[in-house]
Amino acid sequence: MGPKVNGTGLGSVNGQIPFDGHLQIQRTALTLANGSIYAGFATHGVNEPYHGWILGFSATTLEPTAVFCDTPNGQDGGIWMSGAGMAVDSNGAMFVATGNGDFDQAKSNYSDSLLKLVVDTTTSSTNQNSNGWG
Amino acid sequence: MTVEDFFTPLNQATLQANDKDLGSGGVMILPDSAGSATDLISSCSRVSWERSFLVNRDNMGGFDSATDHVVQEQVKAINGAWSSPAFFGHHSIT
Repeated sequence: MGPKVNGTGLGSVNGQIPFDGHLQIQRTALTLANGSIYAGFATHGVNEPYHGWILGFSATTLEPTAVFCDTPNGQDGGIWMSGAGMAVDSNGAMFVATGNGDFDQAKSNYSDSLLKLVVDTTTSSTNQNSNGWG
Repeated sequence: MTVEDFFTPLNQATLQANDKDLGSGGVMILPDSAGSATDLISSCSRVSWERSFLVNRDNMGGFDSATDHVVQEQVKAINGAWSSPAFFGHHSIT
């Protein structure tokens, strides 16, 4: 049972995209914000199916706190930024640049974009929005 | 996590088709002293198709196939970036 998000994009299984550590690699620096440690993920050598992911873990317990996929209904969009960490403003919003891949706002696909991400307290691991939870 | 706002360049389809990552470099929140009186100028990104953007953190511009709604867009100021921007002496440095 690893991270997953709702979506029908490349590699989806029964309406969900599983995070596959065989295909995804952490590319960004760790970012400490909002009591969590966040890491961004992209691909090993463009081996499909991959997506851009951010995973969050409690800074005190390392329990998963958040998951985000930038192409839940598409493909690619790796988050790598040449190893940079995410930028966080004084309100806790996180800014990230995504790699090439599918873009369609109506489908929650955000490749080749600058994103402002906020923690969504209305979601949980069993009640996700289209991007994930937390 | 939820996408609260975003900016996507007008030629995103071309970027996708040619393996041109907007996100080849990191992003940087500029100090308030670098921006306007309303402190809205903020995020800066370098891209491997030789452009960099300055966007408004509170109104990032979304996607418009006709024009990019950004504060500033620099073309070929750098020959692509695989790094993180930094701010020093009122200059953005990559």
